[in-house]
Amino acid sequence: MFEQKSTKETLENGERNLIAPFADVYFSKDAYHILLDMPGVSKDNFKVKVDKDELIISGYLGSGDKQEYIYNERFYSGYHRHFRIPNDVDVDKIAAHYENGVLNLTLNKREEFKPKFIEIN
Amino acid sequence: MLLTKWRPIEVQRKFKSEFDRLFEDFFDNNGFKTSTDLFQVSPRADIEETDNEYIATLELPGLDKKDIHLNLENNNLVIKGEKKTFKDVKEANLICSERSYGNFLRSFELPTTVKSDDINAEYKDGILKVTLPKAEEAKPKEIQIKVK
Repeated sequence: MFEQKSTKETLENGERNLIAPFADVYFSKDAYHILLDMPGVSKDNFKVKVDKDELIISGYLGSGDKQEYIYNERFYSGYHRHFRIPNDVDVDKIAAHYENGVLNLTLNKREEFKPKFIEIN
Repeated sequence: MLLTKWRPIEVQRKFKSEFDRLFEDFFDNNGFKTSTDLFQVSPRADIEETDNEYIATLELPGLDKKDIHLNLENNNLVIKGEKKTFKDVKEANLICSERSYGNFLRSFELPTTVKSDDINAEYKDGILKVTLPKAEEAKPKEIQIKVK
């Protein structure tokens, strides 16, 4: 269902060293929820795209003035990850919320796929 | 053969010091000293240096400012805190969990002394940025050479 794909990729804007952000995926009766750790990306540097049954998420870190590094663990310039969207999701109702470096995506299920209680007369 | 009581804490302590040493060697960024305790969360960090200050940048997504604690101990910058779990979704079931939660602690030994009163820290978009101005005597000074 939710397959993980790709880590480093070369995109249109030239060489970019992108890593796949860590994700937590939950489901409830109404929706799927994906939480991604993408610290350092500001709101305007996100791209969340739906292409057929794929959800593609990208976020870029600002370039800023880099001084001399005496210690460097963050060698990448952004994040990139794909997910396959399950077929009970209503792609027109995907919501995204970003706070404190965490991107929270809600993939709402289509009405007919939400569990319903049947009344017994 | 001398029989001694088996003390599991010794094994743990030995393992931890071996692990710390492994980390120190592995992340040998110009011999820069840093240590990270064996906690569930290990935030990635960068440290930059200019003539006047050090800038430490740590990745700490999803935290509340009040859960981050910064200290300067003997010229070591110590950052610790707790990343709490996601509680917003009610009755939700987990499919996959890659993100880490729990306590973290990282310390960085700074090469020169800093002005502890002027340390500034900001938390934005999940990034903690700490600016530590160098103490006056630690700043590089140009020395004029007089030729006789």
